[in-house]
Amino acid sequence: KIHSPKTIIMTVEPCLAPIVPPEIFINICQDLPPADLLSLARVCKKFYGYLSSTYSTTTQEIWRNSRIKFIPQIEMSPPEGMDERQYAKLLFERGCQFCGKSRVRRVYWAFLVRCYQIRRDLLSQNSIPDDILSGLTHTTSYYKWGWDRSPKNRPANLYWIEDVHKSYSEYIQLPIEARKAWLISKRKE
Amino acid sequence: MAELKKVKLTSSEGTEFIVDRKVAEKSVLLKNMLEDVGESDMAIPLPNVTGPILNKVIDYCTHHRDDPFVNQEDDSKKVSDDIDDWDAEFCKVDQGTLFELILSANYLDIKPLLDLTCKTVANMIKGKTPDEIRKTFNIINDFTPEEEEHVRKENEWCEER
Repeated sequence: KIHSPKTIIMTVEPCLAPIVPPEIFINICQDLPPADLLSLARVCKKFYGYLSSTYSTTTQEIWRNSRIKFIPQIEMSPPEGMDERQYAKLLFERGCQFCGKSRVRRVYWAFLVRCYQIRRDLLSQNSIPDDILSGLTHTTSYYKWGWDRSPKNRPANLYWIEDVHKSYSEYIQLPIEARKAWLISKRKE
Repeated sequence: MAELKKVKLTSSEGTEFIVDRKVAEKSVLLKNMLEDVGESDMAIPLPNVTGPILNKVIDYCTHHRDDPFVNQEDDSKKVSDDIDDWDAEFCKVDQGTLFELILSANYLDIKPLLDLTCKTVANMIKGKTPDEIRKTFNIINDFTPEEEEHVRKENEWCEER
């Protein structure tokens, strides 16, 4: 008969959380509202990986189930081009995405932003030349104010803020002479 | 009567436990094994479960021996506040034990115990900031400050003039 020599005594509080198997992680997530899932995704890379895959049906299901179970009044599926996690971020995080003003919960659906007040002058203030935007992925929004169809109020293109900053920093690092060529090549992409 | 039959289980360190067959059958793994093996006095080895944890699991299964078998489909509506007093008391253990209980419930396929222990962990997460979650579970933040900022700010839009 085989006896194990010693029983293992756990003296230190083990850090078991990051080694939980995926199926158990999913089970734990079943009991969490979207706001808590958002916090959980920011804890460590492993959790972020589990919760941030746009193309994993399991990931998308975790978010969808959480939204339906805890916030049943929001029946609307995510808008086109947005996955469940991005949708949850938009809906359940607080604060203006531009000026950082806290406790803002208003979502401008046409722009898919949570914002204190729409800032039309954002790019001009940052003096980012229009040309930089030409190569970037964007989506066309609706008219800014539904009732006003004047040219001043034309549908604006919306860009990922990250893309813009990335492009701009690339641009600004170039010597002045090279900038024009860079813009032309970017536009071709 | 088959219900009164006893079953022998052996934990990872070789400790033997004798339980009612009905209690053992709360575990789908054991239920299937017992059905396959039929009448036998042989102890069933559970190399993945330590004695103290097996003891806890048997406590749970004994207390819940007469519960109806819950259909996996319809428990999704339950919200985590509905843990009864006995179960809540049962889950007042240190984190190491709690995680071992989860792993054992998963291995032994005891769905209500798995759900209970996972809910307990979920309740420890609720309402906490990422940093508080890390502190609670002793998790190391492996994001660089830049990555952390990226994760916080991703999917923001900005508007063209």
